[in-house]
Amino acid sequence: MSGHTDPYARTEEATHVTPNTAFDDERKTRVKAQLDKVLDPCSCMSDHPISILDLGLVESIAVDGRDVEVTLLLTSQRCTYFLDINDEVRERVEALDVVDTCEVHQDTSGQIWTNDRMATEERKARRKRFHAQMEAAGVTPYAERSD
Amino acid sequence: MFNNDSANLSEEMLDSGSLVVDSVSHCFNHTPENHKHPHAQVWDDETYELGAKILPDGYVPSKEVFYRDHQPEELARLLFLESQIDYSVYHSLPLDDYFHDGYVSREKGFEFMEQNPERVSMYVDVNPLEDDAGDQIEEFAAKDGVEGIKFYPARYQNGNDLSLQLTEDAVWPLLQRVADSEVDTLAIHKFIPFATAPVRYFKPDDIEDAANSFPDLNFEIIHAGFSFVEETVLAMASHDNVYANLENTACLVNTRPRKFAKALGEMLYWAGPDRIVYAGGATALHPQPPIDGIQNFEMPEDLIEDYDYPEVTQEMKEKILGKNALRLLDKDPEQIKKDIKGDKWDQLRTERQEGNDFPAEPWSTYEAGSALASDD
Repeated sequence: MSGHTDPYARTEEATHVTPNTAFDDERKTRVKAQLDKVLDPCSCMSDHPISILDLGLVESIAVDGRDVEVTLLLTSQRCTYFLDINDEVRERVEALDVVDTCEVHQDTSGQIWTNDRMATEERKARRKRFHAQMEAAGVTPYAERSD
Repeated sequence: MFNNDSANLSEEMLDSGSLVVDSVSHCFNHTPENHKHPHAQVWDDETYELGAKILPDGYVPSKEVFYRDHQPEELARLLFLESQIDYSVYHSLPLDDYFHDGYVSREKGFEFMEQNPERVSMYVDVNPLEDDAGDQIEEFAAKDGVEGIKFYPARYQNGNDLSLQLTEDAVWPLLQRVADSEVDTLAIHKFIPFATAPVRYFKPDDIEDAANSFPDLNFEIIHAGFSFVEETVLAMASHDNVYANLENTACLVNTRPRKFAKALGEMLYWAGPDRIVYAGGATALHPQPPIDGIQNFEMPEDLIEDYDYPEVTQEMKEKILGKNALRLLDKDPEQIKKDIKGDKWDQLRTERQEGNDFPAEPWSTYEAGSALASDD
């Protein structure tokens, strides 16, 4: 079982914005930090709230002068919480002293959100909880049963 | 690469003589006359696009073939002449919030079953919000050939997406009605969100509660492996009465093989090979590519090494492609082989095999002129 860790870990370099993404532009770094404060509404209904940055929803951050554009790839194209996320992102980003306006777009390129977009640490924690749940449920993996 | 490599087979469809059982087929009605709600066109288009994404080249139907009111005769030819499926379970759908006939009508299912009584069983849809839902369950479950009841996890009503998860007050008492009825299985759509319903309705968490409280009922979760894999294997590993139905997911074996390998690997590692069933998803999808894909599937070496997934043996493939479904349906494989030997479809297959034309070319048994000719 030691080898059975996380099959959904990311194996290729992320093309979206992750907690580890480094920007040359200081403003983008500050925007990213603000996005890390915006919690995914659905996760707030679970015991483990997660930010939209950690969840891998932030596709890109663009800065033009004092105007910012944030593009999000939602877990569902018709996420009913988009308006709430949009409002909170704008509020938090526009609170920065280097920003006048912030627009939030939804990525509609056709790519889909998959859980390997989650931040590595979050995925590890999630996998750990999964194993703990299995243990709590008294589950021995079928592959390790001797009978 | 998917065609004609089984031409030398007899009436049993895998080389080993093991039956191929399709755990979901439908006769969809994708005509504008069937639309009841503005989102219905989106359903139609997204269903078409799903096939375009997850079927190999050559197996995506033309729009002329797809956008019609599919008939039982067309479904039968698709399953029994264009694929290796020997036996199928027709699921009617309860989407009469969007489509006049529910999208996949019960009537066509009963017709399909009457035309092919030795090859077809049925799961009948019931809308839990109807006043007589419990009586419907009892009535339909008592009919010959009906082996299960089908639910959906959400319903659009008066401008809202209502949760119809199994744990809702409106739904839970009906589980007892299913348990008291003549059938042993409840199937529920999960994992592929639709329309405007929140994604959380498509998680399998409610299945665990239901499987725990109704240990004599089987819960067949449709589209297992498409998303929420960990939640699914938790439900499967901790409850022997939870089954993974691979409708749509099975297609990923060809078009997203790593995703398929991980989903199957997780299920096999945690829950074993006995409660995973193949489904073709006709008429929305062509059912043959996933059969070929599963037969040819090998678990990637790195996933075996890194995650302890088992090798996928021939025995496991036969279970997934048929034996598990027959056990769930409480059918004796040898009896079914006897019942279908020499029937109309067996004869037509034999003729085609002699002409090296089995399985038939994808969608070739649909007649172009028959589109929309549903009322004759």
